Amino acid sequence: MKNDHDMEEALKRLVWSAPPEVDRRVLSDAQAAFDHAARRHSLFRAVGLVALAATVLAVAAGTILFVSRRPPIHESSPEIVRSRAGQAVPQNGDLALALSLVRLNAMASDPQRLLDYLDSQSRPLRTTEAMMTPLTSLSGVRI
Amino acid sequence: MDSTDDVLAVRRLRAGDREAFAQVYERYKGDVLALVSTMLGRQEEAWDVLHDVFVSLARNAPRLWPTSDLKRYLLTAAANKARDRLKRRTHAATDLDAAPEPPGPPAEEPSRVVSTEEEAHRLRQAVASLPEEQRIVIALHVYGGLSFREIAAGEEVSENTVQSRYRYALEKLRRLCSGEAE
Repeated sequence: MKNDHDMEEALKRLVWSAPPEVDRRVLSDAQAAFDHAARRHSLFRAVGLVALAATVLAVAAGTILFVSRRPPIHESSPEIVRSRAGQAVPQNGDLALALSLVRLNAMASDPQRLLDYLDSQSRPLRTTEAMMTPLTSLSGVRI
Repeated sequence: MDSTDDVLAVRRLRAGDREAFAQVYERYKGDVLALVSTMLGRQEEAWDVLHDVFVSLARNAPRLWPTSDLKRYLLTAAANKARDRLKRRTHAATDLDAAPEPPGPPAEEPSRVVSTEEEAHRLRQAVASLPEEQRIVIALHVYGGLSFREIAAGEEVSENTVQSRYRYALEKLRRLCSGEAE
């Protein structure tokens, strides 16, 4: 070995080996660890999938519950009525009148409730042209 | 083995392919053994570390990063485990108030190298007789592929110190292999 480079090369060429019984022990123990790890990994994956499914179900149930508990339109605030009425309510014009008509529309199937509602209302609803409309056609009223 | 083979091997290991594990062992056991044998200077301990490194690989196979550099992973694990052993040795020596680490096997009597195997044997013995800090530098640089800077960071010494240890180690090896008396 003349110089450092030669010595480095000699070191790199050195072959290091283990006796066959060491190889067998390594492979045998490693296979056991391998199997154990695979089983544990499968278990974790299964638990993860169950947790994911439970989360999805919980979110779906929450959404359904939230939607089903939304109040009927005639019990909602004007803002909600306006948003839920969508295109049926004009963007311009007498909003109070439009909202009243939406409520009337929703109560058309219950005459007594409708009459109570009308009694509770003050001007300008009573003086509007809508009041002239026969009750029987209120459900089809269009603005 | 190039990086593409490594990626493929890791993929197979993650999928639980036992045959892939045996192939990886055959492919890298020599590299791991060279590193830990040089670091530890004791064959039996090196075999134990070899065992621990590959059992640890098997245990962690499902969690391997898909693009892992397998050789680097194994050599890093091996170096860490060998370091732990060296630390335990130091602690044991301190606890027992024992003398410093016993010297490695003595270099053979100066004689003419008659075969490659004999030369290799002489070189292994020479490596084992180096001081621990020089063995570590040789192992990490030659077999671990680490730069002097990386070794210095790991050993918490200056880069110059690492280079000096390396130079002294090679010089001593050269002397021992050529049969010169120390």
